[in-house]
Parts: sequence; structure tokens; C-alpha cells
Amino acid sequence: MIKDARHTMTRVTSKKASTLSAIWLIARRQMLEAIRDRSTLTTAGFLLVLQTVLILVVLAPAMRDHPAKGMSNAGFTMAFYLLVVGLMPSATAIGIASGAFAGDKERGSLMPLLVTPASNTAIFAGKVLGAILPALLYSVIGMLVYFLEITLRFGLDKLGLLPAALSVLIILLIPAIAFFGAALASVISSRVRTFQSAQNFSSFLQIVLWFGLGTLFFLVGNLGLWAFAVAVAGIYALDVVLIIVSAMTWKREEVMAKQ
Amino acid sequence: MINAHRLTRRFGTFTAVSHVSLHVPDSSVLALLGPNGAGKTTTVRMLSGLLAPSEGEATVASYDVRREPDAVRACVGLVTDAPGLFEQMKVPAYLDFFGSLYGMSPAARSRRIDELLEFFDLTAHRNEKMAGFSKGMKQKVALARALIHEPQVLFLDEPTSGLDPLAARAVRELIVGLKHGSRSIILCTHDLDEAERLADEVAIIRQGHIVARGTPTALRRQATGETLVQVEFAAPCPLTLEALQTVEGVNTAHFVEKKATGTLPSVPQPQALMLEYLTAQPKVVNPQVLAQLMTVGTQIVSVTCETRTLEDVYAEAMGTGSAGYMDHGTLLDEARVTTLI
Repeated sequence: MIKDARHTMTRVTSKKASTLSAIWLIARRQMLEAIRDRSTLTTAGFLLVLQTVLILVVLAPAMRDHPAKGMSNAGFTMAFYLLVVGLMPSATAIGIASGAFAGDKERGSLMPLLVTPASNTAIFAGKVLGAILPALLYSVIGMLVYFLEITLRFGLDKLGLLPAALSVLIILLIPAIAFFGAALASVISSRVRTFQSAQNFSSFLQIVLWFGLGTLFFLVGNLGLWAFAVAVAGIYALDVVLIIVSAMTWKREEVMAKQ
Repeated sequence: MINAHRLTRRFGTFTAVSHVSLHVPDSSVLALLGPNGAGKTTTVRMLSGLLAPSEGEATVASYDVRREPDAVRACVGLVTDAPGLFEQMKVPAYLDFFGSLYGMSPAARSRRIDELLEFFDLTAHRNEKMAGFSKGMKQKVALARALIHEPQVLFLDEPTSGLDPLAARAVRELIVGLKHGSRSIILCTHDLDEAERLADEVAIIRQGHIVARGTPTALRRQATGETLVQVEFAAPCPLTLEALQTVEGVNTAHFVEKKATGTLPSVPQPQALMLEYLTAQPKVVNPQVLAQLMTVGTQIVSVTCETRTLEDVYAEAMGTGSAGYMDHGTLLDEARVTTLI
């Protein structure tokens, strides 16, 4: 048996940051890294240019002729592109989360973090938050640019054509999708060895979800707005389940055992 | 201080580490030697609070690795062969990030970062991103990160792997300095020379078990206690092996024919010869052997006595012991012939 040395030697004071503080530290560092990362910036910049061109080309014909009230063709088209410009940048959460979990593991930069006294929860939550925040930032920028472009190109009054309830649902959907991407990537990252595999699997599942949402969007006219609202609520519920499952299964012990 | 008692770790049915017991007092270095997959890294991971032991117990800086892993991690520093940096960051920001996770105050972090940058000669690079650093510089940053919170215990897993000789020497000097700063250090290495130079104690681990442990000197002595004697001649020895083996205490005597290297094939070169034997009592046996050789007029160029190296002990522990002497002898032999020519 080992002699308990505590009574015979001075115990070294063990210090660590609080869990909340550690979550924020990890998230902030990762967010800054993602924002400075050239590939993420290039993707976000490309999407911004693409949406600008698409809107000018596709939205212009729909704007020429529209009734003054109700869900006009122009309003519906504007809402669809709001969905596109909001969702596309939120997909970067997958790349960032895959890099934070599988990528760090692959590069060996996860180990120094695991050896700190930060709890499993702090590391996991910090990494997920650090993936979601930049994705949301890009989505907000995308939507702001979209509204600005409509205002400058077609006039401020055209924004009034956007169907209010549908637009609110779309705006609520974007964080849910960013959460979904980050949580999904974190779950997959703990089961694969490389960043590329994590990103590919997560992106595939995200595309399936997008396809379902896109289909549902075009059926809103027949099914009613409630169907879209249920879908948004369903994705939030899915996020909660995914986050709980991944937080419970993500343990440094497991990560170490698989290395 | 590190204490481990019958530490065991299983992954499913595979036992990576089996009943490992260690004691590393303050101000000392224990070198863990062993081939890849022997269990060195798993042992270090258990002791640094990253993996829970399946069996056994251990305390690190007086904290229990099983019950208080968070506290253990707060008191240890770990450096692996891969620096594992966030390479888009600059060194001060990187160290500040880790200092914050260890709960250090902004003032303490700032002071410590300045100290470490100066110590590791990184002050001139404080405004550069680490992506452009050499392997040696990255390893210095990894060491600085491991030391940011002034840990009582350090685990260095092949810290000089891939470093150029000067950078490796600097790291070794640092390890000696850290040891004198009242730290307990476990050094995992494949470099036997490094282990011999730095470690107060060496543990050789094989297939998860510690197969040899002791100070480098004691290990060498325990291995066989025999000395390798090499007698070099200017001309072929006229004495037969049978005659030499009549001297009591001479073991495994044999002649080594030297290879003539670095010469043109058409020019005949004299073939120098060398006698090798093992003896447990060189002071008694060598004078007798040399007297016999000189009686028959053998021209002796040199006599070399070699005690066993840690490499020999390691080879023996790994089950390839007998080859150790012969390989070493051949290498020395070639080197000397080249010098002669």
C-alpha cells in the first residue's frame, strides 16, 4: 500500500478556472481561431459573394410585379433566400466543430487541453460553443448583407413583403441548425480518427436535413405554417438530445483510450 | 513526489500496463525505457490523471489519481513528442490561455510568461505566429506551456524526439535544472544515452511489466558483472585460442578479423587482428593474458576494457542480450580500422 503522503508533506495548492470561466476561455480561443482561419474565411466570403450574385439574378424578376398585400410571390421568394443566406453560413459550424474535436485529436493539440484541470463539461461545452458562435456570426452577417442588398437594390419598402411569421421561424431555425451541425460533428468526431471523416459524415447528414427542410418550405403553402413551426421545434428538440448524448459520452478518458 | 503501487490498466481484454510500482521522490528523475507499445505512455497517462487505473493506486503530489484526477492535473505538466500547439496563435497568447485554465491571476500569468519567454530564448519571437516555428522552437513552447503553472511533477514523453542536437541538449540541460528545482520528473525515452545522463533511476518496461529498475550504475552492475576486454594487435596473433582459454576467468574468447575499409581493392592491406573476451575479474585476468601474449612476441597496439552500457542492459531486458556485445564490438572494430588507415 502507498503511504498517504499528505500528513508528511506540504500539499501543493491545486488551482483551476471555474467551469463557466473555462467554457468561455475555450470557446473564445476557438472562435478567434475559426474567425482567423483562412479556409473558414474563404468559405464565408465565397458564400457572401454567391448570395449577392444570386439575389441580383434571381430576385430581381420576382420583385418587378407583386400584389401589395398577403404572401406574394416576391415575399415568398425573399423568404426562401433568407433561408438560404441564413443556413449556408451556419454550416461552417460543422467544419469548425470537426476541426475542434477530430482535427485537434489528429494534430495532437487536444492532449495539452485534456491535461489541464478543466472538466470534461468545460472542454466539451467550450468547443461546441466555439463552433456555434462564429457560424452564427457569419449567418447574421449574411442576413444583414441580404437585407441591405434588398434595400439598396429594390428599396426599403420591399422588406415589408417578407412574410413576418415565416421570417421569424427562419431566423429561429438558423441557431438550431448551427447547434445541430456542431453537436453532430462532435458526436461523429469522437467515433472517427480524422477531421476529414468527421466533416464528410456530418456534412452528409446535414445535407439530408437541409433537403427535408427545403421540401417542407415549399409545402408550407399547402400544409400551413404550423408544419414549418413544428419542424423548427423538432430540430431544437433534436439539438437538446444530441447535446445531452454527446456531452455524456465525451469524456477525456474515452478520448485517451481511443488514441 | 510520485508513488504508484501495482498500477494496472486494461483496454478490453488487452492489458497495457500490469502491476507497475514506482517511487519518484522530489528532485529526482525516473527514466522509463521500453519499446513502442511497452506501456510507458499509458503509465504516464494514468499518473497524470488522464486515464483511470483498472487496478492499483497512485498518488501524485499527494493527490490520488483515481479520486482526485482534476487536482492531479492541476499539479502536473506533460510534454509529449508532438508539441500539439494551436499554431495560429502567438506564444504569449497561447501561454496566457493555458495559464488562465490553471486559474492563474492576470499578473501572475504576465510575470510567468515573461520569465518563460526569456528562459526559452523566445522573447524575440513573441509577436510571431507559431506556425512558422521550427520543431525545436515548438518543443520549447510545449515545455513552456507545461511549466506555466509551476507544476511539482513533470511527465516528459520523448521530449527530445525530432530535435536537432543543440535543441536536444538545451532541453536536457533544462531537465537537469528543473530537477534541481525540487520537481519529480518521469522521462519516457528511447534514447538510452539520454536516460543514463539524466536519470537518477531507470525502469525498463516491457509488455506492460517493469522488468528492471535501479540506478544506471546498479543496473549495469547487476546485468552480468562482466567486463569486455579487447586486445588489438599490430600483426596476427601467433597464440591459439585454446592456449588463451587456459587462463582461469577468461570467458568466450575469440579473435575478430578486422575489415580493411576505405582502400583500393587492388592494394593488399595488412589484416589487423583483435582478441575479445569477457571476464568478471579484469584486474586479475588481464595481466595473465597479456603475459601469455607477450611471451610469444605478440605486438600489442592497445588494450580496452569496457563495462556494460545501459544499451546492453536494455537489450538483455528485451530478450536480445547476447547480441549486444557482439554488435557493439563490431561497430568499435570498424571505427578503429578506419582511424588506423
